[in-house]
Amino acid sequence: MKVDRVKGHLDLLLLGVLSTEPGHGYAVITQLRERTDGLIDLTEGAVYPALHRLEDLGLLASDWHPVGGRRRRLYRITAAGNKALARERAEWDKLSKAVAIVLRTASVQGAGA
Amino acid sequence: MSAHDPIESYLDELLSAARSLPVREARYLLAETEAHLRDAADAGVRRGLAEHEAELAALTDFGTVADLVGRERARLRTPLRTLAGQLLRTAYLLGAIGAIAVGLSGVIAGLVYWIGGAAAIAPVPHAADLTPANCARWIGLAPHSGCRAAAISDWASETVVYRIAAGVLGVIALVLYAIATRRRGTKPKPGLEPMVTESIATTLFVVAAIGTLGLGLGALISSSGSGAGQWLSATPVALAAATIFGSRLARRLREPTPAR
Repeated sequence: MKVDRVKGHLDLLLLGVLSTEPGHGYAVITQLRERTDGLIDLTEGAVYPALHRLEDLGLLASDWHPVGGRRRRLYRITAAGNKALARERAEWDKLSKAVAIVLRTASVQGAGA
Repeated sequence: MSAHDPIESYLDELLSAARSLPVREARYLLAETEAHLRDAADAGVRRGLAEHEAELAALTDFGTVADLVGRERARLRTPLRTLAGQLLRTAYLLGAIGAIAVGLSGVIAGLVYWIGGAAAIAPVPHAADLTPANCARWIGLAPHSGCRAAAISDWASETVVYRIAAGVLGVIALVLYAIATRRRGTKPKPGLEPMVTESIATTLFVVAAIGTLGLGLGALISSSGSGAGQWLSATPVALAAATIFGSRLARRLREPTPAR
Protein backbone atom coordinates (compact mmCIF):
# COMPACT_ATOMS: atom_id res chain seq x y z
CA MET A 1 0.00 0.00 0.00
CA LYS A 2 1.68 3.18 -1.19
CA VAL A 3 1.72 6.58 0.46
CA ASP A 4 -1.33 7.91 -1.42
CA ARG A 5 -3.55 5.13 -0.02
CA VAL A 6 -2.52 5.79 3.57
CA LYS A 7 -2.15 9.56 3.27
CA GLY A 8 -5.22 10.38 5.35
CA HIS A 9 -4.20 7.89 8.02
CA LEU A 10 -0.46 8.51 8.18
CA ASP A 11 -0.76 10.62 11.33
CA LEU A 12 -2.77 7.89 13.05
CA LEU A 13 -0.21 5.25 12.03
CA LEU A 14 2.77 7.31 13.23
CA LEU A 15 1.10 8.15 16.55
CA GLY A 16 0.16 4.48 16.91
CA VAL A 17 3.72 3.27 16.44
CA LEU A 18 5.17 5.91 18.76
CA SER A 19 2.55 5.31 21.46
CA THR A 20 4.35 2.14 22.52
CA GLU A 21 7.87 3.58 22.72
CA PRO A 22 9.93 6.51 21.43
CA GLY A 23 11.75 5.94 18.17
CA HIS A 24 13.69 7.60 15.37
CA GLY A 25 12.35 7.91 11.85
CA TYR A 26 13.96 4.79 10.42
CA ALA A 27 12.77 2.68 13.36
CA VAL A 28 9.21 4.02 12.98
CA ILE A 29 9.15 3.11 9.29
CA THR A 30 10.65 -0.33 9.95
CA GLN A 31 8.08 -0.99 12.67
CA LEU A 32 5.23 0.11 10.41
CA ARG A 33 6.42 -2.30 7.75
CA GLU A 34 6.96 -5.18 10.19
CA ARG A 35 3.69 -4.72 12.10
CA THR A 36 1.73 -4.75 8.82
CA ASP A 37 3.70 -7.63 7.26
CA GLY A 38 4.90 -5.24 4.55
CA LEU A 39 1.36 -4.19 3.56
CA ILE A 40 2.24 -0.58 4.25
CA ASP A 41 5.30 0.36 2.26
CA LEU A 42 5.69 4.14 2.30
CA THR A 43 7.96 6.45 0.37
CA GLU A 44 10.19 6.75 3.39
CA GLY A 45 11.08 10.40 2.85
CA ALA A 46 7.38 11.31 3.21
CA VAL A 47 7.41 10.18 6.83
CA TYR A 48 9.81 12.88 8.05
CA PRO A 49 7.72 15.93 7.07
CA ALA A 50 4.73 14.13 8.68
CA LEU A 51 6.69 13.59 11.91
CA HIS A 52 7.79 17.24 11.86
CA ARG A 53 4.21 18.39 11.31
CA LEU A 54 2.98 16.30 14.25
CA GLU A 55 5.71 17.89 16.35
CA ASP A 56 4.59 21.37 15.20
CA LEU A 57 1.07 20.45 16.37
CA GLY A 58 2.42 19.41 19.78
CA LEU A 59 1.39 15.78 19.32
CA LEU A 60 5.01 14.60 19.27
CA ALA A 61 8.19 15.88 20.89
CA SER A 62 11.75 15.08 19.88
CA ASP A 63 15.32 15.08 21.21
CA TRP A 64 18.64 14.19 19.69
CA HIS A 65 20.46 11.18 21.10
CA PRO A 66 23.37 9.03 19.96
CA VAL A 67 21.93 5.60 19.06
CA GLY A 68 23.98 2.81 17.48
CA GLY A 69 26.91 5.14 16.81
CA ARG A 70 24.77 7.74 15.01
CA ARG A 71 23.16 10.94 16.27
CA ARG A 72 19.43 10.47 15.87
CA ARG A 73 16.28 12.43 16.48
CA LEU A 74 14.09 10.40 18.80
CA TYR A 75 10.36 11.12 18.67
CA ARG A 76 8.01 10.48 21.56
CA ILE A 77 4.27 10.95 21.86
CA THR A 78 3.01 13.76 24.09
CA ALA A 79 -0.11 13.83 26.30
CA ALA A 80 -1.89 15.77 23.53
CA GLY A 81 -0.69 13.15 21.07
CA ASN A 82 -2.17 10.36 23.18
CA LYS A 83 -5.51 12.17 23.32
CA ALA A 84 -5.46 12.72 19.55
CA LEU A 85 -4.58 9.06 19.03
CA ALA A 86 -7.53 7.90 21.18
CA ARG A 87 -9.86 10.22 19.29
CA GLU A 88 -8.59 9.18 15.85
CA ARG A 89 -8.69 5.48 16.81
CA ALA A 90 -12.34 5.78 17.85
CA GLU A 91 -13.14 7.46 14.52
CA TRP A 92 -11.23 4.78 12.63
CA ASP A 93 -13.07 1.98 14.49
CA LYS A 94 -16.42 3.50 13.55
CA LEU A 95 -15.41 3.94 9.91
CA SER A 96 -13.90 0.48 9.50
CA LYS A 97 -16.98 -1.13 11.13
CA ALA A 98 -19.24 0.74 8.73
CA VAL A 99 -17.15 -0.22 5.69
CA ALA A 100 -17.00 -3.85 6.86
CA ILE A 101 -20.80 -4.01 7.24
CA VAL A 102 -21.34 -2.68 3.72
CA LEU A 103 -18.72 -4.95 2.17
CA ARG A 104 -19.98 -8.05 4.00
CA THR A 105 -23.41 -7.65 2.44
CA ALA A 106 -22.16 -6.59 -1.01
CA SER A 107 -22.43 -9.02 -3.90
CA VAL A 108 -19.29 -9.10 -5.99
CA GLN A 109 -20.23 -9.32 -9.69
CA GLY A 110 -18.19 -11.85 -11.62
CA ALA A 111 -16.39 -13.18 -8.56
CA GLY A 112 -15.01 -16.63 -9.20
CA ALA A 113 -15.93 -16.45 -12.89
CA MET B 1 32.15 5.84 1.92
CA SER B 2 33.56 7.73 -1.05
CA ALA B 3 32.89 11.23 -2.31
CA HIS B 4 31.05 9.69 -5.25
CA ASP B 5 28.82 7.24 -3.42
CA PRO B 6 25.11 7.75 -4.18
CA ILE B 7 24.17 8.74 -0.63
CA GLU B 8 26.85 11.45 -0.57
CA SER B 9 25.59 12.84 -3.89
CA TYR B 10 22.00 12.75 -2.58
CA LEU B 11 23.02 14.63 0.59
CA ASP B 12 24.87 17.24 -1.50
CA GLU B 13 21.72 17.76 -3.52
CA LEU B 14 19.61 17.93 -0.35
CA LEU B 15 21.95 20.48 1.26
CA SER B 16 21.66 22.67 -1.82
CA ALA B 17 17.85 22.39 -2.02
CA ALA B 18 17.33 22.81 1.74
CA ARG B 19 18.89 26.30 1.64
CA SER B 20 15.36 27.59 1.08
CA LEU B 21 14.37 26.23 4.52
CA PRO B 22 15.10 27.86 7.89
CA VAL B 23 18.68 27.01 8.91
CA ARG B 24 17.84 24.73 11.84
CA GLU B 25 15.14 22.88 9.90
CA ALA B 26 17.65 22.30 7.08
CA ARG B 27 20.35 21.09 9.46
CA TYR B 28 18.01 18.68 11.24
CA LEU B 29 16.57 17.38 7.97
CA LEU B 30 20.05 16.71 6.62
CA ALA B 31 21.16 14.89 9.80
CA GLU B 32 17.98 12.79 9.94
CA THR B 33 18.16 11.93 6.26
CA GLU B 34 21.78 10.86 6.48
CA ALA B 35 21.13 8.65 9.53
CA HIS B 36 18.11 7.12 7.80
CA LEU B 37 19.90 6.43 4.52
CA ARG B 38 22.92 4.89 6.25
CA ASP B 39 20.63 2.68 8.35
CA ALA B 40 18.69 1.62 5.27
CA ALA B 41 21.89 0.91 3.31
CA ASP B 42 23.32 -1.12 6.21
CA ALA B 43 20.07 -3.12 6.30
CA GLY B 44 20.40 -3.76 2.55
CA VAL B 45 23.94 -5.04 2.99
CA ARG B 46 22.72 -7.34 5.77
CA ARG B 47 20.10 -8.68 3.34
CA GLY B 48 22.94 -9.58 0.95
CA LEU B 49 23.11 -6.59 -1.40
CA ALA B 50 26.43 -5.11 -2.50
CA GLU B 51 27.18 -1.79 -0.78
CA HIS B 52 26.51 0.30 -3.91
CA GLU B 53 23.27 -1.56 -4.65
CA ALA B 54 22.16 -1.18 -1.03
CA GLU B 55 22.72 2.58 -1.19
CA LEU B 56 20.76 2.86 -4.44
CA ALA B 57 17.92 0.82 -2.95
CA ALA B 58 17.88 3.05 0.15
CA LEU B 59 17.64 6.14 -2.05
CA THR B 60 14.84 4.68 -4.18
CA ASP B 61 12.81 3.87 -1.06
CA PHE B 62 13.46 7.31 0.38
CA GLY B 63 12.16 9.35 -2.58
CA THR B 64 13.49 12.40 -4.39
CA VAL B 65 15.07 15.50 -2.87
CA ALA B 66 12.48 17.70 -4.60
CA ASP B 67 9.62 15.74 -3.03
CA LEU B 68 11.18 15.79 0.45
CA VAL B 69 12.02 19.51 0.42
CA GLY B 70 8.65 20.33 -1.20
CA ARG B 71 6.81 18.59 1.66
CA GLU B 72 8.92 20.42 4.25
CA ARG B 73 8.27 23.75 2.54
CA ALA B 74 4.54 23.05 2.47
CA ARG B 75 4.66 22.27 6.20
CA LEU B 76 6.47 25.50 7.01
CA ARG B 77 4.24 27.71 4.84
CA THR B 78 2.35 30.32 6.89
CA PRO B 79 -1.33 29.27 7.17
CA LEU B 80 -3.82 31.71 5.60
CA ARG B 81 -5.50 32.35 8.95
CA THR B 82 -2.16 33.32 10.54
CA LEU B 83 -1.36 35.52 7.55
CA ALA B 84 -4.75 37.25 7.84
CA GLY B 85 -4.05 37.89 11.54
CA GLN B 86 -0.61 39.33 10.73
CA LEU B 87 -2.15 41.57 8.05
CA LEU B 88 -4.80 42.85 10.48
CA ARG B 89 -2.26 43.58 13.24
CA THR B 90 0.03 45.38 10.77
CA ALA B 91 -2.86 47.39 9.32
CA TYR B 92 -4.01 48.34 12.84
CA LEU B 93 -0.54 49.48 13.93
CA LEU B 94 0.18 51.35 10.69
CA GLY B 95 -3.28 52.94 10.91
CA ALA B 96 -2.51 54.12 14.46
CA ILE B 97 0.90 55.48 13.38
CA GLY B 98 -0.76 57.19 10.40
CA ALA B 99 -3.35 58.77 12.70
CA ILE B 100 -0.57 60.04 14.99
CA ALA B 101 1.17 61.53 11.93
CA VAL B 102 -2.09 63.28 11.01
CA GLY B 103 -2.26 64.59 14.59
CA LEU B 104 1.27 65.99 14.35
CA SER B 105 0.36 67.66 11.06
CA GLY B 106 -2.57 69.20 12.95
CA VAL B 107 -0.14 70.69 15.48
CA ILE B 108 1.92 72.19 12.62
CA ALA B 109 -1.30 73.43 10.99
CA GLY B 110 -2.16 75.07 14.32
CA LEU B 111 1.20 76.87 14.31
CA VAL B 112 0.64 77.99 10.70
CA TYR B 113 -2.84 79.21 11.69
CA TRP B 114 -1.36 81.11 14.63
CA ILE B 115 1.39 82.71 12.50
CA GLY B 116 -0.31 83.20 9.13
CA GLY B 117 -3.98 83.34 10.03
CA ALA B 118 -6.90 81.14 8.95
CA ALA B 119 -6.43 81.89 5.23
CA ALA B 120 -3.04 80.17 5.33
CA ILE B 121 -4.80 76.94 6.28
CA ALA B 122 -8.22 76.98 4.63
CA PRO B 123 -8.96 77.90 1.01
CA VAL B 124 -11.19 80.79 0.01
CA PRO B 125 -14.71 79.36 -0.33
CA HIS B 126 -16.39 79.22 -3.72
CA ALA B 127 -19.25 81.62 -4.24
CA ALA B 128 -21.63 78.66 -4.51
CA ASP B 129 -20.78 77.68 -0.93
CA LEU B 130 -21.78 81.06 0.45
CA THR B 131 -25.49 80.30 0.76
CA PRO B 132 -27.53 82.26 3.34
CA ALA B 133 -27.91 79.17 5.52
CA ASN B 134 -24.17 78.43 5.50
CA CYS B 135 -23.32 82.07 6.12
CA ALA B 136 -25.72 82.23 9.08
CA ARG B 137 -24.02 79.17 10.62
CA TRP B 138 -20.47 80.47 10.04
CA ILE B 139 -21.23 83.98 11.27
CA GLY B 140 -22.86 82.40 14.32
CA LEU B 141 -19.46 80.92 15.12
CA ALA B 142 -17.53 84.14 14.39
CA PRO B 143 -20.00 87.01 14.97
CA HIS B 144 -17.63 89.88 14.10
CA SER B 145 -16.60 88.52 10.68
CA GLY B 146 -18.06 88.61 7.22
CA CYS B 147 -19.40 85.35 5.71
CA ARG B 148 -16.26 84.55 3.70
CA ALA B 149 -13.85 85.22 6.60
CA ALA B 150 -16.07 83.28 9.01
CA ALA B 151 -16.10 80.31 6.62
CA ILE B 152 -12.29 80.34 6.31
CA SER B 153 -11.95 80.59 10.07
CA ASP B 154 -14.34 77.65 10.61
CA TRP B 155 -12.64 75.45 8.05
CA ALA B 156 -9.17 76.26 9.40
CA SER B 157 -10.27 75.48 12.97
CA GLU B 158 -11.81 72.19 11.82
CA THR B 159 -8.60 71.26 10.00
CA VAL B 160 -6.54 71.78 13.15
CA VAL B 161 -9.00 70.26 15.64
CA TYR B 162 -9.96 67.19 13.59
CA ARG B 163 -6.34 66.35 12.83
CA ILE B 164 -5.30 66.64 16.46
CA ALA B 165 -8.30 64.48 17.39
CA ALA B 166 -7.10 61.86 14.87
CA GLY B 167 -3.67 61.95 16.53
CA VAL B 168 -5.22 61.42 19.97
CA LEU B 169 -7.21 58.48 18.60
CA GLY B 170 -3.97 57.05 17.16
CA VAL B 171 -2.28 57.27 20.57
CA ILE B 172 -5.31 55.64 22.23
CA ALA B 173 -5.25 52.85 19.64
CA LEU B 174 -1.55 52.17 20.36
CA VAL B 175 -2.13 52.21 24.14
CA LEU B 176 -5.10 49.81 23.78
CA TYR B 177 -2.96 47.48 21.66
CA ALA B 178 -0.18 47.51 24.28
CA ILE B 179 -2.69 46.84 27.10
CA ALA B 180 -4.40 44.04 25.15
CA THR B 181 -1.13 42.25 24.37
CA ARG B 182 0.15 42.70 27.95
CA ARG B 183 -3.11 41.47 29.49
CA ARG B 184 -2.99 38.29 27.44
CA GLY B 185 0.25 37.56 29.29
CA THR B 186 1.79 35.99 26.21
CA LYS B 187 4.39 37.16 23.76
CA PRO B 188 2.68 39.64 21.41
CA LYS B 189 1.78 37.99 18.13
CA PRO B 190 3.89 39.45 15.35
CA GLY B 191 2.57 41.34 12.36
CA LEU B 192 4.02 40.88 8.90
CA GLU B 193 7.79 40.58 8.49
CA PRO B 194 9.44 43.89 9.53
CA MET B 195 10.82 44.34 6.02
CA VAL B 196 7.32 44.09 4.51
CA THR B 197 5.83 46.45 7.12
CA GLU B 198 8.60 49.00 6.62
CA SER B 199 8.24 48.80 2.82
CA ILE B 200 4.50 49.46 3.08
CA ALA B 201 4.96 52.31 5.57
CA THR B 202 7.77 53.94 3.55
CA THR B 203 5.73 53.77 0.35
CA LEU B 204 2.60 55.20 1.99
CA PHE B 205 4.44 58.08 3.66
CA VAL B 206 6.46 58.91 0.51
CA VAL B 207 3.20 59.02 -1.48
CA ALA B 208 1.65 61.20 1.26
CA ALA B 209 4.67 63.56 1.26
CA ILE B 210 4.69 63.92 -2.54
CA GLY B 211 0.89 64.26 -2.68
CA THR B 212 0.62 66.93 0.02
CA LEU B 213 3.62 68.81 -1.39
CA GLY B 214 2.05 68.79 -4.85
CA LEU B 215 -1.34 69.97 -3.56
CA GLY B 216 0.34 72.63 -1.41
CA LEU B 217 2.42 73.95 -4.29
CA GLY B 218 -0.67 73.86 -6.49
CA ALA B 219 -2.55 75.99 -3.95
CA LEU B 220 0.40 78.41 -3.73
CA ILE B 221 0.44 78.86 -7.51
CA SER B 222 -3.26 78.86 -8.33
CA SER B 223 -4.79 80.47 -5.23
CA SER B 224 -2.00 82.85 -4.20
CA GLY B 225 -1.23 80.65 -1.20
CA SER B 226 -4.77 80.46 0.13
CA GLY B 227 -5.26 77.09 1.82
CA ALA B 228 -1.75 75.88 0.99
CA GLY B 229 -0.98 75.44 4.69
CA GLN B 230 -3.48 72.60 5.12
CA TRP B 231 -1.39 70.50 2.71
CA LEU B 232 2.10 71.80 3.43
CA SER B 233 1.62 71.26 7.18
CA ALA B 234 1.34 67.53 6.47
CA THR B 235 4.38 67.31 4.16
CA PRO B 236 7.16 67.53 6.81
CA VAL B 237 5.43 64.93 9.00
CA ALA B 238 4.98 62.51 6.09
CA LEU B 239 8.57 63.15 5.02
CA ALA B 240 9.90 62.52 8.55
CA ALA B 241 7.90 59.28 8.86
CA ALA B 242 9.07 58.16 5.40
CA THR B 243 12.67 58.89 6.42
CA ILE B 244 12.36 56.92 9.67
CA PHE B 245 10.77 53.86 8.03
CA GLY B 246 12.96 54.19 4.91
CA SER B 247 16.22 54.31 6.88
CA ARG B 248 15.15 51.28 8.95
CA LEU B 249 14.35 49.46 5.71
CA ALA B 250 17.66 50.46 4.12
CA ARG B 251 19.58 49.27 7.20
CA ARG B 252 17.77 45.94 7.06
CA LEU B 253 18.39 45.55 3.32
CA ARG B 254 22.11 46.24 3.78
CA GLU B 255 22.49 43.58 6.48
CA PRO B 256 23.82 40.18 5.40
CA THR B 257 21.06 37.58 4.92
CA PRO B 258 20.05 36.68 8.48
CA ALA B 259 20.20 33.10 9.75
CA ARG B 260 16.58 32.08 10.19
